[in-house]
Amino acid sequence: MRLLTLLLALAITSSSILAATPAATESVNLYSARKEALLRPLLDAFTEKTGTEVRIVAAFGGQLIQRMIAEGENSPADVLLTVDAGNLWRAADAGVLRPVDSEYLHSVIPSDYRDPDNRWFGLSLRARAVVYATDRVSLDSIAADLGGYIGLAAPVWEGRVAVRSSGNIYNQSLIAAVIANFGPERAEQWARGVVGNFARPPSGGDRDQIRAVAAGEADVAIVNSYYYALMLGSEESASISNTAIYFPTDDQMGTHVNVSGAGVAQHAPHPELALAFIEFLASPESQSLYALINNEYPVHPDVHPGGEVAKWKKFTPDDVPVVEFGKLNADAVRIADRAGWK
Amino acid sequence: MFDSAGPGMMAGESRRGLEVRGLSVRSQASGKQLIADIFLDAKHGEVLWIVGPSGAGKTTLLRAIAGIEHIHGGSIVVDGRVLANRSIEVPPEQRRVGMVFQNAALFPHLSAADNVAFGLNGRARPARATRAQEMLERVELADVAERLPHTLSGGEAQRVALARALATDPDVMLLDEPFSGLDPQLRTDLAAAVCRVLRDSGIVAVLVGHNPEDAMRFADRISVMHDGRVLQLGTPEEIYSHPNDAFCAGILGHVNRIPVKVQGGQVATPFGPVRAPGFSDGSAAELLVREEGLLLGDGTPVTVRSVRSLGALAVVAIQPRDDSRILHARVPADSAPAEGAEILVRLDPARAFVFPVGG
Amino acid sequence: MGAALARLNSARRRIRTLNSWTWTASVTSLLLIGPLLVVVFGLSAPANDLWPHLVDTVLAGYIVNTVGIALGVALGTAILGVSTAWLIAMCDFPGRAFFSWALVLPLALPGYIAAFVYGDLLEFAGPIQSALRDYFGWVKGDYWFPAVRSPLGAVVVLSLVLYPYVYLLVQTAFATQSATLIETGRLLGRGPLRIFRTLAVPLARPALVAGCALAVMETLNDIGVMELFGIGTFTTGIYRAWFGFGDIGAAARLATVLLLVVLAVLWAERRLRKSLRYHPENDRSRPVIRYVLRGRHAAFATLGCGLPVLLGFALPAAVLAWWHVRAGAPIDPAFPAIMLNTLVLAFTATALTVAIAWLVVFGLRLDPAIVRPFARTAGAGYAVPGVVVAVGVLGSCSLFDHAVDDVSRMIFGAGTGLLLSGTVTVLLFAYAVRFLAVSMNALESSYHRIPGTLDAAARTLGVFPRGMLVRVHVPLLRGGIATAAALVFVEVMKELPATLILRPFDFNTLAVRAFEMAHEERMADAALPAIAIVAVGLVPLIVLSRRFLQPSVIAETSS
Repeated sequence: MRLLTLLLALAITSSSILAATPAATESVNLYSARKEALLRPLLDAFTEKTGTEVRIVAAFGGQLIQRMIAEGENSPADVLLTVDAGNLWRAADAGVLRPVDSEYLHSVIPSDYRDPDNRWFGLSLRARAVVYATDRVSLDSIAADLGGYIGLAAPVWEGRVAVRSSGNIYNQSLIAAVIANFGPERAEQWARGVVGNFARPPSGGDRDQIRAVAAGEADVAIVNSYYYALMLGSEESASISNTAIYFPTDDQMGTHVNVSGAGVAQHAPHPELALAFIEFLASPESQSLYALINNEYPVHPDVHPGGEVAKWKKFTPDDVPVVEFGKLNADAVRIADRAGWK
Repeated sequence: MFDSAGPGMMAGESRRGLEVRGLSVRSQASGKQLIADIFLDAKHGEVLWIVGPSGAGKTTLLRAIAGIEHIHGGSIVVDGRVLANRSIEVPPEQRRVGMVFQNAALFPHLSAADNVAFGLNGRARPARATRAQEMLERVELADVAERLPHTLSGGEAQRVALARALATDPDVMLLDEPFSGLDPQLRTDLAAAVCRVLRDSGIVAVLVGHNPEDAMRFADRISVMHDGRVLQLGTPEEIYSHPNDAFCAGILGHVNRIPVKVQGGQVATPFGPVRAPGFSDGSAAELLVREEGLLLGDGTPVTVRSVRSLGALAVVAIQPRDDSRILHARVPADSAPAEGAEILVRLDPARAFVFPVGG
Repeated sequence: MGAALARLNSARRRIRTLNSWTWTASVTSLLLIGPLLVVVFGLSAPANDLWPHLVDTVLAGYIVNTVGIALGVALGTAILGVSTAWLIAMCDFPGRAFFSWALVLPLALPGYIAAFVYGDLLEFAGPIQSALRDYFGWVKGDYWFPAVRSPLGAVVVLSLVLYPYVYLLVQTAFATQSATLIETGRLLGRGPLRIFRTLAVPLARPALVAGCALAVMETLNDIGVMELFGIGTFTTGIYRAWFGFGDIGAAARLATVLLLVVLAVLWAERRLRKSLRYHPENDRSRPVIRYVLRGRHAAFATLGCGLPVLLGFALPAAVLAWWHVRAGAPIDPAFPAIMLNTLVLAFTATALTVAIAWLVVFGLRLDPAIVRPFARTAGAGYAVPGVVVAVGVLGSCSLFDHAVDDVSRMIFGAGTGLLLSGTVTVLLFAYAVRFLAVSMNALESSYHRIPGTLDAAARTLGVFPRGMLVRVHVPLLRGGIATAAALVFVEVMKELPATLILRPFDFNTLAVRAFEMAHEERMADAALPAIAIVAVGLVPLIVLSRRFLQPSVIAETSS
């Protein structure tokens, strides 16, 4: 079949054109849920320091995990970098990460922010905070009427709460944290209360929730802290000048904090380099940059946040280890579905 | 080009022509029987003309011979070489069977000459061009060689299609209603030209056509098909004079149909008795009288109801006395009577046939 | 019994006389079905308790949304497509020549980008509602405004970018097929509206059904618009079960239901098209004499054609451009490389997909009975969400890789590693699975115009099958090939989910870049690649629309 031969030749030729980057003998292969453009400065810094190239595929965390499962023991992935402890827990649960023994990582990363079995390590922190409209809600009233997350279900907020869909892992982890603090029954009751307080059906991303608050569609929005910082630093800052950030805390539950993190792949071809890369990301010189690129908090206790984030008040993080979010994820999703949180 | 007879060929069989034995074809889609138990044969240099109404299975038969229709029984053999039977089905491209389609099926993107040269593989380009030109000359169309199909007239297109099919020097040529859609004069001229070329080529030619006059005029033999079966196979004269049944009698020309009862081996008609051997007394039958079998001049008196001229011939509607039935007679136009005239008519027994009813 | 025996006999003989083309076509189709089978076989994965939970809570909503939006888009594209097609084919008005091809442009705009732009423009905090509030001094609750991020919003946005499928097919049908009949209608004294209703639309129904089916397929597999608008459908449900929960069993169940729906749609489309075909294929086509519109009518016609182009293309494109200019961001230095990468990828994928489609369609023509089931099933890939295809492709490639690896380990004592996984080949394979139906449809409708007797003529002339393909079909199918190639090219340019998950290391396309930037909400940076996708897609689309809508008609002077 001459036609088929021709086609095959075409496919192979174009594959080789398109994959022109030759596989460096010593390179770390990174599966990343964090976009390449954001990571580029860090990857270049690593290459400069160690001479090791970093090759990257960026996609969503869940997709990368499925890809690693499908590739199995021949997977080229060395490091999986993803956001949210829920995703990291799922990756570990699916068996695509291996435990590593690193004294350094143990020493710099607090135990709440890493896997007890050492399969993944948090690298940056983000708070799931509340952004409120300062022209309609005063700081005093928000401290009194809201307090902690549990207050979002109070009748006073009816028709005033904006939040994205529960399909998003950030909300699933938040619900999981509420379960961990208050038990499943109270958590479900709470979820129903929050749904009843929605200003509109969940849609859009976290930034859309902030815009809704600024425009008056809602009075409070549940969003990740870095989105707010990002908007404050953008050309949109003027249009959200009537908003402020609040870190919910009450007697029982501190501010919900999640991580972005990384782990060494189960079948990593270069496990030593992989670990070196993760240790590099956890080192003080990378930490400030790694946190800064996405307006997050560094996980390294000695490194301070920069940019807009540095101007915010300190808050008390919740003391539930992030690994719990993964364990409770299935329960959280069921609660959201039953409560009608789209 | 004549060395391709199959291995099963026996000495002396090489020129036996086309033999179709017990052929049957079912519809691919519905499984319905399209043609059944067809027996045919056709010799080299002979034009076999298949006539029959639409839906009779004429085209299916041609397509089966060409190999573009799967067969379900019987066999097709050409010069002793099996083209298809229970276990063999030679693909059409290896059958050495040429075909001319109703719509000519010229390749619209190729010139007439390129169409003719299409099937000439394995020859050098100049040789192909020469052969194509030769073929076009044979159908008297050398001057249209460079023209594209859509600029050709219907008759020209059909002749190019014939040249194209002949160019590969096939053993059998199949023509599927090649003259339909042409005006009568052109049709007759084209039929004459095509049949001459076919006979000159010494090829086995099977032609499907609608027009019985053309068939009578140009066919060496005629096969009458109806409802997927061959009812009669013979020379035009045999079928005209000795039809097997009422259908065959009616297909070559116009007939008067008169229901009758047989009494004592004959049937009574207004023009006297007609012999009907082999019928039992009192059985119902049908008398078929060709229009040209009613002769004017003497015999039974009738009234002329109308006269319609067909040019050289005229059709005269006559009504026998004491009879409500109108019959038609075909007579030379110059001897046609006037409307309303009382004339005498007799019946030519050689052009009248008695068949059982429903037979 | 005799009939059955005869059929069996002929079937047996046919298998023996089957040529290599038929085999190749069947095997190739099977290869493309492979990934879909991998997904369906996920059914056998142990279902954990997510499935019953989904059934209890969200499944009903998925069904309502999926069916409702699909029907809505079918209706929306039918209305937009048929009315514009009628105006272009049958009427003369200012701007007609321009609109005849401009009406195709929305096809170049990926649905997720249109949804993004409209979501941003029309949401409560967006510029339009904000301007209204500022002007009238309204606050929330003072006024009603349709929610853009809603199922209805999805129907409108998708209809605006998908109606060109209907327009292209129905316009061609109006302009050619039914000319004689429409003229007869006019001679019988029927007015334009009655002719439209009683003649033109019924005659164009096969084309309408085919166009709507394409739009429905696109809608069923859409994930971008639904995610942006927060709408739960089967496709987002699959996505959530699979990538959210890692629950392959539940995802496979949802995917199988979706596949069944798709196959049902495909089947219904075939049936409808067959039963609605009124006249023989070989009917000579001829252009119609058009109505000349003047005054108010002409203005309405211009508006009627202008709005879909404006809303489906010009406005979103202008907003993108404005975002880019407003930010004054420097052009991404990686942009030229990404552009080149995308073009090479799209060209290769197009060549490969069209060639495979051709092989299958040719096989279908040679032996429909054998090839048809494979070909029809392979065509279902078009309506399967890109992510599902991606995971199926990933699964089947890794099966292949592991098999080769194991064999090699056994024989040579050394593994081959991953041969296909993580290479561009996987991506090309996924595109072929996804877009086979698009190119097959174009080629098949082109093939329908080649009478079967031409094939028979070629065969009896001893030229078969390669000669028939090369010397008869290739020259006669040029237009069909161009159509297929243009459509696949544009689709590949727009394709996102499969590209995202299957691409090799350090590999970017325009769609991926636009999406990543949009996801980071860096709209200024997202705008440039988005504009590039649209701009590159325009070229084949304009060529395509010119081919479809050949100028041919003499306008009538009276109205």
